[in-house]
Amino acid sequence: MLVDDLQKYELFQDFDDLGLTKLMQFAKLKRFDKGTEIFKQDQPGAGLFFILEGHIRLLYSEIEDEIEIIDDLYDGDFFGETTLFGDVQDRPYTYKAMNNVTGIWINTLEYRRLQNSGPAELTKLLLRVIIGLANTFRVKNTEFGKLKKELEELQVESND
Amino acid sequence: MLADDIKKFDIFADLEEIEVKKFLQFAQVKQYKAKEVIFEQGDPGSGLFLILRGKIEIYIEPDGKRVSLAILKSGEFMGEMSLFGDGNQTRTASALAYESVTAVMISTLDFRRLQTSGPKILSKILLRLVVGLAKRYSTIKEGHKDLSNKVSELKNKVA
Repeated sequence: MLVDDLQKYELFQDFDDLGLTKLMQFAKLKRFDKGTEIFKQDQPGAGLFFILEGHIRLLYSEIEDEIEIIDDLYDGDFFGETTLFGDVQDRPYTYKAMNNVTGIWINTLEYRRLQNSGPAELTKLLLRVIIGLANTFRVKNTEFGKLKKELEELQVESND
Repeated sequence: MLADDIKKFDIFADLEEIEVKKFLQFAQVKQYKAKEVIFEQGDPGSGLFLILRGKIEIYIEPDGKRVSLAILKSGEFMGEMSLFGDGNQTRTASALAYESVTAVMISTLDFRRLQTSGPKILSKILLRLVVGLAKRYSTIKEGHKDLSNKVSELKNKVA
């Protein structure tokens, strides 16, 4: 995928051609077909995955054949961030592509290299991630407040 | 403030001592009395706060009725949203000193200065912010799910 194609994604909005080219020396573009198990539960892994396009479902299984849906991740979501601080960790869930998924992957070693040789690019990337999270928070906070109010009203109604 | 004082907090855990000292050139220490309002929903965002001592209540007031969202304690942070975007961000919730509070604050302007003169320092802090926010987001998502279920149950009961 060309740098021009990547710039259409919100995650790379603050990057110029040079910065994005530098970033992609450390990150890998990944594509997965619908149904692919991107990572399997309990397998070791270390690195950060950003979803550019697609839907990934997190599945947890304690007993064979009993699978629990933990979460659904979409465009702009990410996972694996805690593995960037230290050693390889076992994946807590299975990450399954629910449709065709495109994302970028930075393993822990490349992340550290990027931190040393491209901190400005890394800062831009992390800021964009935080802006995405901040926007989601705004929506969730508002919804949460409305739900709490609705619950209180329903509790009053139910007691009547 | 000594670098050692803030080095123990998660958000600075990846910084070398010299990097902490550089960060502190851009930050200020703030003190608030118990029950003092730190900022209100709708105020212009002024920067990121890291709580060193004390507790802060975060709340919103939809339709004038107060709804508590969280009690933040030592080591936790708030106001991160004001650092980003076009600089015209407003506070999405209010913050009140639940008890006497000491916090370190970096203004949006100084944050941008640090972005230019210390991007490696900033990248280390930002990764910690991402991890902290992701955890908080996960908690909110869970709380949201529980609340939705309770509302659905009560709706059925009332109907």
